[in-house]
Amino acid sequence: MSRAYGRMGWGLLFVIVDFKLDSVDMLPDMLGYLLIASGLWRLQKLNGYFKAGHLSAWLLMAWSVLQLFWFTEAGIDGLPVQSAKDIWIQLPALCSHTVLIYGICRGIQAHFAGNASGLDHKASLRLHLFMAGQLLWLIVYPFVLNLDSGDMFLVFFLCSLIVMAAEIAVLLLVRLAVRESTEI
Amino acid sequence: MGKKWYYVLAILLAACSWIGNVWHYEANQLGRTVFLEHHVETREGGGRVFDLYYVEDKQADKRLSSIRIEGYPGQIVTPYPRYAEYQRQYLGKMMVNLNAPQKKGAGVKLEEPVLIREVTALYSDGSSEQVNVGEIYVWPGVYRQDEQDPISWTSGGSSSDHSGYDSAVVKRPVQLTAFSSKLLDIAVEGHLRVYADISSQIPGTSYRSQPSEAHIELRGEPVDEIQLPLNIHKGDSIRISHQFDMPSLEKSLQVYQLLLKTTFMEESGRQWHGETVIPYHPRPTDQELSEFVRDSRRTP
Repeated sequence: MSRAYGRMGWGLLFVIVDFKLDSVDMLPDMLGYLLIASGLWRLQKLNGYFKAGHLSAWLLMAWSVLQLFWFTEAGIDGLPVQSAKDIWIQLPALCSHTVLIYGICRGIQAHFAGNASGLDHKASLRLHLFMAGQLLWLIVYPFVLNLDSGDMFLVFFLCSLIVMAAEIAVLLLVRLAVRESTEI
Repeated sequence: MGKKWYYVLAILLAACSWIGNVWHYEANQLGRTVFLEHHVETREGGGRVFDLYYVEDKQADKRLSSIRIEGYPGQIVTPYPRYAEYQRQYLGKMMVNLNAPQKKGAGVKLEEPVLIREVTALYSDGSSEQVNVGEIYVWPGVYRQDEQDPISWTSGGSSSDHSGYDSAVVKRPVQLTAFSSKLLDIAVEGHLRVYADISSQIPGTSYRSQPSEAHIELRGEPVDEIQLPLNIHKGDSIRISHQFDMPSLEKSLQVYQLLLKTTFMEESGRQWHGETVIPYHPRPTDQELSEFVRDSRRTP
């Protein structure tokens, strides 16, 4: 069990951290989703939340493979110009990512329910933080089509900051789960 | 239970935001290349150029790459696809020099210009179509500045408020006999004021210091109120100034370029011509362009 959580933790690290050298991601998201999927494959027997997360991880892996061949068209100035099509394309990935993190947090909450470590409460708290940031992001993101990106910069920056902080908190939660499941 | 309702509410808000924003975005897309309405006079030679303006979506799959005007094989077209940038569209222009060679021994010069209403639009995907761009009057030939010319055009200027002027000095006594242009209807409608200031008529005014570029003052009298013919003496100055006042969005998004011809006659009976370019190039605001896009979507 702890190895499954361990793989999930490494996978999350690959997904959250973008370490690029010459525009090549040294920690590719595709590998991250594969690690998460392989970790959740073992955990999905425990509860339905992990099962939902497992399915989302595969979808996101397929998505990240597609992205390798599917470059966003550059705008006329060489900068990406957002079209409705570009925005819609992002929606399945955003939803799958939300379901993945939701599944991980709720799965850990269910797995460690009543545990003395209080991991279930920590999972619940981090889930709410993540959902708040992610749903706020889902609400404001489409405004990029109609408002000047300069005007939206602060809102986008704040949302990204909340989501990133929540994802790091989820990563630390998974590390705690590794430790707890070793002790169990 | 309470927290679940927050999630449901947030998901509903997200759904509304996506649907609303995409709908608003699509409603403000032009979907094609649209040329503005042009009212232009030009000459087929002498380096005289004119601009053809068009509007295109930033996200257009098919872009205007060039235009062609039939009958002018030597034409030079310089594209400026991003002449002005708006939130969702670009205002582009094609600068056209018809560059027709001067005809030798062509006999009597045509007095009437050729009227062009359609040009061939060439797109980035290799397709082309005939598009109506308004009216382009192409005058034949070119007036050559001769050393003998009794009128010497000395300076000119324009301002961002659609005003401008041209000044000249008279080297020999002449008689001003006419002001003419194919597009003077706009002045009759009251959307263009053209004034002529001749120093011997209103002493001193033409020698004042040049106005600031923020606004060019109209001086003298409206050209249609000047009693012609008018005798002009050696050393007098002529200043022709103009100001466009477009009353509506529809008018303000039209393109004008008048060639105001001033005709002078010497005592010997020899005629001379001066030519003043009076341009109006639209500079719509983001809001005006959005309105133009909505209007253009309604008309196929």
